[in-house]
Amino acid sequence: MAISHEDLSEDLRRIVLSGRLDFHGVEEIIEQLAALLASSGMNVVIDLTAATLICSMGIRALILNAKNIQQRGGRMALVVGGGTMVSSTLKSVGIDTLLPVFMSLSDAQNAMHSRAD
Amino acid sequence: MTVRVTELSLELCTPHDARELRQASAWLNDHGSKHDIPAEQLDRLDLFLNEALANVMEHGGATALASSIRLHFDLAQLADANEATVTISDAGIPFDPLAHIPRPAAQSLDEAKPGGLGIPMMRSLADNLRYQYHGNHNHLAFTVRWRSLAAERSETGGIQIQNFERGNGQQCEIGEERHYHDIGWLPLFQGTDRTAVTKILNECEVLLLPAGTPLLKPGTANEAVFVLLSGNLAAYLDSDLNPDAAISIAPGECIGEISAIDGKPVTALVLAVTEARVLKFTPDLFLNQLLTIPGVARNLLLALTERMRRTNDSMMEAQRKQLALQHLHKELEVARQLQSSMLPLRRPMFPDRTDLEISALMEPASEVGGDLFDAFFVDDHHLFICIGDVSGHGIPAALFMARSIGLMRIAAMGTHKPEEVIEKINDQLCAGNDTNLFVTVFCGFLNVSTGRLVYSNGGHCAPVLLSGSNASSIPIPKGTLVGAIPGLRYSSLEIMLDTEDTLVCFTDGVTEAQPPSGEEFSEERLIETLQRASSQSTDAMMDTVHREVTGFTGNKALDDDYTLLAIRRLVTNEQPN
Repeated sequence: MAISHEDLSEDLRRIVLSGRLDFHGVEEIIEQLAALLASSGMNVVIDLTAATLICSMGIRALILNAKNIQQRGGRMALVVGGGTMVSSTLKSVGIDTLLPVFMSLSDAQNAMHSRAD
Repeated sequence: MTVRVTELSLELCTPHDARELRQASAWLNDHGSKHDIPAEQLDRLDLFLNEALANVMEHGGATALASSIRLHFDLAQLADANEATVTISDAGIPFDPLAHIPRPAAQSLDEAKPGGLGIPMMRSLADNLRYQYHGNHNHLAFTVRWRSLAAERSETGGIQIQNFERGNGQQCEIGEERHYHDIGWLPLFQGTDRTAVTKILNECEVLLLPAGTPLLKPGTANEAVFVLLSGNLAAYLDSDLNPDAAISIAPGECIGEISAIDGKPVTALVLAVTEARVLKFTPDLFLNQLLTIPGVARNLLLALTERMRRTNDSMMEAQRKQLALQHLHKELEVARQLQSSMLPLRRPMFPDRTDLEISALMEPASEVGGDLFDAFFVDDHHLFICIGDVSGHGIPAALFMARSIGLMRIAAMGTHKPEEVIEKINDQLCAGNDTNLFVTVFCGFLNVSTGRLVYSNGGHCAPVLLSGSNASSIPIPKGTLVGAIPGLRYSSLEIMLDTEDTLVCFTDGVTEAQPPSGEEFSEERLIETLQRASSQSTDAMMDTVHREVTGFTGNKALDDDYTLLAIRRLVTNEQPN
C-alpha cells in the first residue's frame, strides 16, 4: 500500500492510493491520509486508479474523511479506473450516490474547478 | 455430477495480527492462480476473505483472538460450471451474517453513517453464502462460480444475466458491465443457488419505464412481482401525489409481492420517478419456481420485515413530528403573547392625557410577526413615535423586531433628533447581522405643546395626515432601510400637527392586503377609509380600517403582518399631568 500526493492548484489536492487497500493496508495509511487531508485546501481528489482492492474499512475511511472535508466547506471526489475490482466494489456499496466519481483525473479536475467557479 | 478438484487448509495462529490477513490472501491467490480461477472470481474470494477475517478480528471477541482461525479452500467442477469455496471457521461470538439486516443505503453524504458496509459487501460478492454454528465454532462458507468453457460455448439466447448491471444515474458509470454475479447485489437472490436463479431469470422480461410511468395503479388487480433494477420508483399512498406521503423504492427492492400473494387490489400508485428498469416475474415464475429455491423465501421475508420496520419507523417519526408540532404551536402562542406584551397595545394608550389620543392595531400574519410600533414620552413635552416592518415573517422576524424595538427605545432616550435614532440603530443592527434581515422605520418626536413633529425615515411608507376630512401622505425624507448597510446618514423633515389633526402611520401589510383575486387594498382605499372615519375616535378609526381590510380580503389568511398607529392632538384647556 502506498500513498502520495500533489497539489494541483491552490485549493485542489490529489492523493494517490495504490496497491491493496485491505484491512492491513488501511491501517498502514490511515494516519497519513488524515494528515494530508487536514493540511489540504478546500477540495481533494482521491486517485484510486492504481489501487487493486478496497475493503469496507477503506470505504469507511473515505466516507468519514469526505464528511470532514464537507464540514470544512470543501469537497472530495474519487477517480476510479474502469472495470477494476475497486470500481465494482465501490459501485456495489453505492459510493456514487455519496461522492462524485470520475473515470479520469482530468474529468475530476474539470468538475471540481467548474463547481468552484 | 460434482468432481472435487482440490481441498486445502490453512491455520492462522495469531488472528489478532492484521499481517496474518496478508498471509491468508497470499495463500489464497497462490492456490487460486495454480488452479486457473479467473481473476474476477479470485478477486471476489480475496476481498471476501479480507472482510470476513477483519470481522472476526474486530467483533469475534476474546475467544476468537485466543484461538486459531481455520481456512478451508475447496475447488469443484459442476456439470456446466466451476466453483471455488472458502470456508472460515472461528471460535468467536456466534454471528450469522445472513440474518443481519443491513440498513438502507444512504442517499447523500450527509445521511451516510460510517461502518456497516462489510456484511452487505460480503453478501454482494458471493454466488452462495452459507453459515453454520457447531462445535463452538462459526463456519462461514463463501462460494464463487464461473461457467466452464464448454458451457460458454453452448450458451443460447434469452435474457442475458450480464445485462443486469446496477445503474443509478450518478455522475459516471463505474467500470465495465459485470458478468455472471451481477444479480448478486439483489437482496432477493443473496446467498441462493445462482444456477437455479439464472434459469428463472431467463424466463423474465425487463421493463423499461420512462420517468412518470405508472407501474401499479391503486384498485387494480396485480399478479406479477417486480424487482427494481435501476432508477427510482415511489409509492404514493394518496391521490394528491403528495411527495411527503410517498415511499421511495430503491434499486433491489421488490414491488407488488403483497397483492400478488393475497390476490387483493393494489393499494398504492407506484410511479417511476426517474427512468427505471424493472424485472418482472409472472405468478408462476414467482410462486411456483422462484420461491422454491432455498433462500429466496427467507430473503423475501427479510425484505418484508425490513419494509415493515421502515414503515413502523416512519409512523413513529410522523407521530413524533406531530407531537413536536403541537408543542411548537403552544410555544408560538406564548411567543405571541410575549411579543404583544412588548408593544403598547393597551387602549387608550395614554389614559391620563387629555391633549392626545393615540391608538394602535396589529395583526400578525403568523403567530408572531415582524411589525413594530411604539409611542412614549421622552420628556414632559416630547412624544417619541415609531413604526417599522421587519423583512420576512415568523420567529426570525419576531426576534429581529424585538432587538430593533429595544435598540430604538434606548436610542430615543438620548436625543431629540429622529435621524440620529435611525443612524444609531442602523449601525447596531448591521453589526453581526448574519441573518440578512432588515427593518423599515418611520420615527419622530412630537412636541405635544406646539404640534411640531420632526421625523425621519428609513425605507418605510409615508404616513397619512388627516386634517378635517382631508387626507394625504406626508412628504418623507429619503432613507435606506435599516440594518442593511452600516454607516448611512439619514435626514429629517418636520410638519405641524394642528389640534384635531390625526397622523396615521401604517405598515405595507395594510395597503398590500389582498383577497384571492389578487387586487391590493391600496393606499387610495386606506385614505378613503380614513376620510370616512375622520370623525371617529382613533380607537374606532383603527377598528374601521381593520373591518374594511378584513372585508376586502374576505377573511383570507394574511400574507403579511399589518399595523396601524394613529396620533391625534386634541383641543383642551387643561394642562397635562
